[in-house]
Amino acid sequence: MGEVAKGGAIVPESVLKKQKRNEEWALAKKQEAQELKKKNAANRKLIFNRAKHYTKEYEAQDKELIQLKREARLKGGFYVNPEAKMLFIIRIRGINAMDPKSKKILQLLRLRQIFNGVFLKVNKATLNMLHRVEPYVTYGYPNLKSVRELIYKRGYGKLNKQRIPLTDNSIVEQGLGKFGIICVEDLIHEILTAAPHFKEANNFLWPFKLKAPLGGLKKKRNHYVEGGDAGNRENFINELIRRMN
Amino acid sequence: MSYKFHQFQVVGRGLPTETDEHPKIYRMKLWATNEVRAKSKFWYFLRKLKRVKKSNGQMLAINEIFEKNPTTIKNYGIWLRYQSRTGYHNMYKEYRDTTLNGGIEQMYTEMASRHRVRHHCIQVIKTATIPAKLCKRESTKQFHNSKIKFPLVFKKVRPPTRKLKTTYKASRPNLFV
Repeated sequence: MGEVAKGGAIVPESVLKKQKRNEEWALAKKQEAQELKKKNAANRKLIFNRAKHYTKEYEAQDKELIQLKREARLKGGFYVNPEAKMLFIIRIRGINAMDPKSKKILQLLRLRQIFNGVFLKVNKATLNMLHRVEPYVTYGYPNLKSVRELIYKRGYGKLNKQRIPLTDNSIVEQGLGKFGIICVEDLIHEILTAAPHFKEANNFLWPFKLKAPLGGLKKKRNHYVEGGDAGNRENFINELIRRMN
Repeated sequence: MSYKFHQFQVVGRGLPTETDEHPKIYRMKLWATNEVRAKSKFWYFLRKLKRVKKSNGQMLAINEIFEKNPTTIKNYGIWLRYQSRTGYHNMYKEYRDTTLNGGIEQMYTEMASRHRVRHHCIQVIKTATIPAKLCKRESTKQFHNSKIKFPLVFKKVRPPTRKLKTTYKASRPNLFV
C-alpha cells in the first residue's frame, strides 16, 4: 500500500505519484523555458537585422528615385514615376442611403463602418472596384510613416476570427509565421512594398478603425478635385491619416 | 506670403500603341491649388484639345513654377474665359503685383466679388507681363509714376491673418495715422 517515509508515517501512494509527476512536469517546463529563451534571443537578433535591412532598403529606394529623375532631366527626357502598387482607402460616408452594388463592394473591401481604413493592392480588378465606390471613399498612396503609425498605433490582427491587438511580435508570428513574417517590421515591409504575401498580410490586419479627422473634412459630397474629399487624393492621404490616426 | 493658387507645368502624352509608337508630348502651364488638382485640370483641357483621356494617357512630369523675380513690381495682363449665368465671355484684366501667382489670386477674388464667378467657372487663357506703356486699364496706369506720392488718410489696424480676427474688441479702433 504505502511506503515508510521520513516521519515514519505511511505515505499514501497517490501522493508519491503526484510528487513524481509534479517533478517531471517541473523539469519539462524548465527545459522548455530555456529553449524558448534561446529561440527568443536568436529571434531578436534576426528581427533586428531584418529591421536594419529594411531601413537601408527604404532609404535606397528614395535615393534611387531622385537619382533616376536627375538622370532623365540631364538627358532631356522624362522619368515617369512608377505607378503606386498599393493604396490606403478610408470610407467617408455612413451606412444610410446606399445603392446595393456599392454597398456590396464596400463590404468586399471590408469597409463596413465610416472612417474605416484598409490597405489595397493596385490592379485592374481593384481599380475598377474603387471606381464604382468613389463617392463613398477617399484613397491615396501612403508613405512609410503612415503605414508605420497605423500599424503600431491601430494595428490589430485576426487570430481565430478574433481581433487581437498587435502588442508583441509573437502575435504576428502566430498569424503569419508560415509566410516568413515574424515581426511587425516584416509586416510593415510586406504591406509597403506589396510583396508576394501582401494578400495574406493585409487580410491578417483587421480593418483600421480611425477617429474622425481633427480639423474636419472639406466637403464629403464632392470629389477631391472639385474641392471636396472623395476619390483619389494621391499623396495628400498622408496628411489625412495624420489627422485621423 | 502663401498663395492659394500655384502655377504648375504639366507634361503628358497618350499611351504608346501599336500604330503610334511615340505619341506627341504635350506641355501645359496652369494654375491650381495643388498637384492633384493640376493633373485633373490638365486632362480636362487636353481632352478638349486632343483625342486623349486620362485612361489612355500618361502623366510624364509635373513641376511647380516659381516666380523668377518676386521682388520687382510688374503689370500683369490676364486673358480669361468665364461662364456667367447666361453664357461664356472672354475678358482681359490687368493687375499690378510682384508675382504672377499673386496677380492670378487677385483676379480670382475680383471675378468672384465683381461678377459672382466662382473659380471653377474661370479658365485662364493667357498671361503676360505688360510694359507700362501698353497697359490699358486706368486703375493700373495711375500707379505708373516714379515719383508717386499719396497719403494714407486713415490707418485701420487689421489682424495679419483672417484666422486671428475676432468679432468683439475691447476698445474702439483708432484710425490715426
